[in-house]
Amino acid sequence: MQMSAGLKMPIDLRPPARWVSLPAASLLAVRVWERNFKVFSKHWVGAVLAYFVDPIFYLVIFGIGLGGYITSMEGESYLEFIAPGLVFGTAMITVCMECTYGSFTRMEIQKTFEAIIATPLSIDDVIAGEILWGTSKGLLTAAIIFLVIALFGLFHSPWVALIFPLVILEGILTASLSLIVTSFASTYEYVNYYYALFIAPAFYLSGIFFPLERFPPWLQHIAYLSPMTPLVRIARALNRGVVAGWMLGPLICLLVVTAVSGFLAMSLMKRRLIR
Amino acid sequence: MIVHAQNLTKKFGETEVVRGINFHVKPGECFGILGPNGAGKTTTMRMIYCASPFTSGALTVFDLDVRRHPRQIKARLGVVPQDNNLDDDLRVIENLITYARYFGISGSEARRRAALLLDFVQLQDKTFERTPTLSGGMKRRLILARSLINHPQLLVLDEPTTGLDPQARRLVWQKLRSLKESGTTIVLTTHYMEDAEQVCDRVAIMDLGRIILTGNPVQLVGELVGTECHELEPAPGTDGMLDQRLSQAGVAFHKLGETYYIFPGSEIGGYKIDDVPHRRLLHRRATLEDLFLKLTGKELTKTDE
Repeated sequence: MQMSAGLKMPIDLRPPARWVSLPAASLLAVRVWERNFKVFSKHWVGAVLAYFVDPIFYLVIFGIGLGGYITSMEGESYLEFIAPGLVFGTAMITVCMECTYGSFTRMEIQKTFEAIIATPLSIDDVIAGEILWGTSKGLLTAAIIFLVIALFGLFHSPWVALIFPLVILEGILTASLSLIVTSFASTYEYVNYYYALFIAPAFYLSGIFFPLERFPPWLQHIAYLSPMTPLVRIARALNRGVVAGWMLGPLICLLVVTAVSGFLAMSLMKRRLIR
Repeated sequence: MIVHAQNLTKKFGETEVVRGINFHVKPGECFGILGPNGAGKTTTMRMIYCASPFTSGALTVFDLDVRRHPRQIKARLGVVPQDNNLDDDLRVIENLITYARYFGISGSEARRRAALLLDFVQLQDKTFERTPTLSGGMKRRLILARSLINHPQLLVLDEPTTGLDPQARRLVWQKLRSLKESGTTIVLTTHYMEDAEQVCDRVAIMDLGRIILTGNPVQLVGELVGTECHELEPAPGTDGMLDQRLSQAGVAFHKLGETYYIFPGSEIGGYKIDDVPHRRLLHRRATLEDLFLKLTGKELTKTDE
């Protein structure tokens, strides 16, 4: 039996870190983004094609098909009415897919997170990297649909360029919320509840397809729980050349919710993965 | 000291899986943690590579507290986890290059090291294969290569050869020996006692969350078991007589199922062991296996999942 007496040993009686401790992600998160980008770059053609087809379908089916019956919506064509909001809608769906199905596969099926945290990266870094990656994919989708809408000639104000920083905000928020769900998920089935109970309502109640004022007041209140609702409203205003003070309140609110969600995603993932 | 654990304890909820263990690992040595499943080996390994926070006690790696400096520690570690967690989305060489990036190794240097390591573990023919198509042995070797990408000062290997065929096993042990010769410190767990005896300078034998013995494997076996072991399956109906003779002669033995493991001497109270009526009798060198059996009355390896 070896004796260990007399060896230098720092004495530390501090209690072990709890999962509620403040997240501390570092720039190493970029390495996780790199890893996901490398995998994505293997089949980017298919992915990008899909991102093109999706918005065109929306524009054709809703805009031209349904829009044929609607002559004017708040003074513009139906296509012009739905186009700015669609940028946020499709970006949100992309981010959610990536940070639920994608992240769950990496975490639970492939044990990729486990492999990464044996390197200098921490779980906070991994989750920050996943958020960064999800947001990037959202941004890519948004850029593609933005291009399609521009080609359809539906943008009327240079202010629509402000949609991009807003998509980044939306991306970080949706990625964080999705990772919170993933941190609780035991199977893919679990993710389906999230789509049915949160994502689908957040999408359809956000006022993309018709003005919220059509809803009874109680449903309007619920609609404002969707992070997309203020974004759709702001995007529409931007396309009409309006930049106004009322936009500030909802944006600050979104920023706060985003920060809280990001921290929560990291903490909950730590709770799940550190045993 | 490369690793130093003092009164290290780990609880999962109310279950204590590591119960106040003390050990240290010296620079350049190969230290084996042995024991049956559920002994707490993997948990101990996970605490060393900062994947699992301990409950109480103290643990340092490179004289750094694992709770305060996990990044600095992990930067100098190579880890082979118990379960394969290769990146199935990436090809063989991409697994190594991407892993190198986590350590901040530049792209060109990563490619250089990856090619060398694939040679080292003899997977150069598989460089551009898809990772999921590799056999179990190849995956294990690729993980070993991956663990070496940052030129680690300490290798932490949890069951590096479990599930491998004998050739693949031999290849891995051979690689580990050459790493040790080049000065890498190694901590490992294994089910293969013969291999542990050959590779490890010191072993700690764990059972039920405690370290019951630490020392050089050959010396431990020599001192506590002796050099020989006789495995004897007595002729039917002669058990009682044999039990009596063995106890009268004061010979150390263990009975496991039908088989008697008799340790020192070749005579039992005047009888030669060969003269005992038996169905099967085997004289062989005593091993760590026998030591564990003697200490706990349990078999070490046959508790495999």
